Amino acid sequence: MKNFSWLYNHRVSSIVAYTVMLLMVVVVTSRHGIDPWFLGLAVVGSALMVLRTITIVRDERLIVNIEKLAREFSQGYFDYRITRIPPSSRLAKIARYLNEGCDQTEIYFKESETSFHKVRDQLYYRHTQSDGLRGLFVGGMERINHSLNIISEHHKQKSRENLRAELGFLNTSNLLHNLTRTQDDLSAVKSQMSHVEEMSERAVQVAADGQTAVSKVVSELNRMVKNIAMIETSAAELNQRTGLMSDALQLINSISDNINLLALNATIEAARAGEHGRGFSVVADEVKRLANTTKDATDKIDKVLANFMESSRTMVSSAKNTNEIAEDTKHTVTLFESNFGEFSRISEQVYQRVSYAQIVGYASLTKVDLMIFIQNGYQALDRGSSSAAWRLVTGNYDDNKFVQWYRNGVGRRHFSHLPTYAKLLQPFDNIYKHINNALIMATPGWDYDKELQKLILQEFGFLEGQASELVDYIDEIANEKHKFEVHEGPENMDITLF
Amino acid sequence: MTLAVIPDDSALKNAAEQLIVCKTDPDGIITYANAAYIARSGLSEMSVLGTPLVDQLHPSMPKAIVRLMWSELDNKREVFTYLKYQSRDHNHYWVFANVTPGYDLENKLKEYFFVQRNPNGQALQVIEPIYEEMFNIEHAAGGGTTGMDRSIRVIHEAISQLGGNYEEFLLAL
Repeated sequence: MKNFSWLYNHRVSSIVAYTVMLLMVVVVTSRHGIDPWFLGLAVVGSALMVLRTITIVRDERLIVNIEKLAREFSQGYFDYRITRIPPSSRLAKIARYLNEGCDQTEIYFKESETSFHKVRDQLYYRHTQSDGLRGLFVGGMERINHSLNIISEHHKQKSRENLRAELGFLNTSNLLHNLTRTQDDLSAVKSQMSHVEEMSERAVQVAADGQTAVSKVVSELNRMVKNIAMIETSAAELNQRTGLMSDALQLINSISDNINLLALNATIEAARAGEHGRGFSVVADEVKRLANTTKDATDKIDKVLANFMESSRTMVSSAKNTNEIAEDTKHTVTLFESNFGEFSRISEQVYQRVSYAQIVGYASLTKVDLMIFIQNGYQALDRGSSSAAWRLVTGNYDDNKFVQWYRNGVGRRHFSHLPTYAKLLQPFDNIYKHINNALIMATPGWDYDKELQKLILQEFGFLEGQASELVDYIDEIANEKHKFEVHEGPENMDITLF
Repeated sequence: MTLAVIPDDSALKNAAEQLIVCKTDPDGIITYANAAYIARSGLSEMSVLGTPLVDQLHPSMPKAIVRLMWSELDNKREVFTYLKYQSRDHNHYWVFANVTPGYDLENKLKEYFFVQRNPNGQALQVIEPIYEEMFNIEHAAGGGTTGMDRSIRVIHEAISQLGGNYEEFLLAL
């Protein structure tokens, strides 16, 4: 059989058949002459054979195409199609079925490939289009869609978690930083307060000392009054004695006058000497009386002098005493003065410390309010537009706590004259704007839209930057207040700032 | 051999389930059309093959849509688009086409694969007035790129009203 295989080739077999037919016509005609019936039948037979050949050639081309499609398909390619299919061919149906099969396979392949690609690029809306697919392809597409949904969900979930994690990280790190700063503020307040406590203790001590000093001064003054009264008494006594002394002196004067007279009498009597001896004895009596009187006067003077000495001594000692008391009082009063000085100094320092603590407290409260506002921003993003946090951060700008603080509240009252005050509102405006920008973008589905997430994260990054700038300014303004108003005193500040 | 091929399988005859598939070479010349395509066009396979696909489209198709389709394909992206075809009897029919570029092993562009489905009536209610407006704008501008640049805005506006991109817009219809 193998040796005759060439006979199965339609070209060779056709040529052989035509040659045999021609030979048959030639042989029969040459032997039996022209037979119209025979020739007629031969022509009809040949025509049918030609038609058959045409069909065979046409089908042969179709078979070649079918073979090509089958070969490609077996190699994993299905983009080839059979075209120009002769409608009347027995093989036309096969060719069309194969084309349809390749269409279905190619669609299935491309659909699944494209939709997976899109999911990889985070485009979750592109589901496979299974309309028009047949048989097992339909179920396959549905399963792919199901898988795509799971992958999408997983992606969304992951993306949501990623964003939450990133936001959480951003939030926590900034919050920690801010809490540390608040802690610093509070420890500054605490240290100021412990200073104040020490000072108060000292002030109590100084006050107690002052009280002791006062009672001492009072008792010393009492003593001084007594002494002065004593001096007064002595002085009066002295005055009295002075009268006695002038009496004594008058006595002495009269004695002296009598002695002079006596001396004159004696001179006269002496001139009569011898004649009248009795007269001399009268003189002698008179001298004797004078001597007694002089003795009395001398006694009196002695007594007066003694009294006088006594009064003087008393006065001197009282004066000395008073002087001493005065010295003591002076010392006590100086001490008292220095106590009062220290007391006032301590009060001043306490005022400064308390003022500083108050400023730091105000600043710290503002920072905490700011932190709470930002925390509400994060919470609004997490909990959505129906949350209280959302309402708070998207609320009217003019009603905002910080804005109120700035425009009408403590901020304006205590800080508006300081240079940094003007810088405070801009960063807050930016924070407010960035939070609202982020929340505007947080439309449904934001948590799996990479681009949107990036933008939202960016907004939160911006606002954290602005927040830290604002906190810097708050610290700065607290320092300014402290520097200008507390350390250098309000007078200085008035000159520098107003 | 100018006879139209009418699919004889009953499943293929159900128009709603039919995929109207064709392929073109990189120049947009039709190289393959499936039985449904041939049946819809009312032409023979031989007269469809070798003709530019755009010649089969209805004259009222906005040129900007066709230009957008080719430019997306040039960028190696798949395209979804609504196409209005003209059939031999001067009637028209709408398809929702998914077009993908095909590459050979050297990654060289080999063909475009058009998988076209019957659009739903709801989608056509949206698309038809847009296409009509676009066509009128192009017609008023006397054709050319200025008309196309103007008419494409109509569909962009429609997309921006609904949100999303062109593809999302079409798939959502």
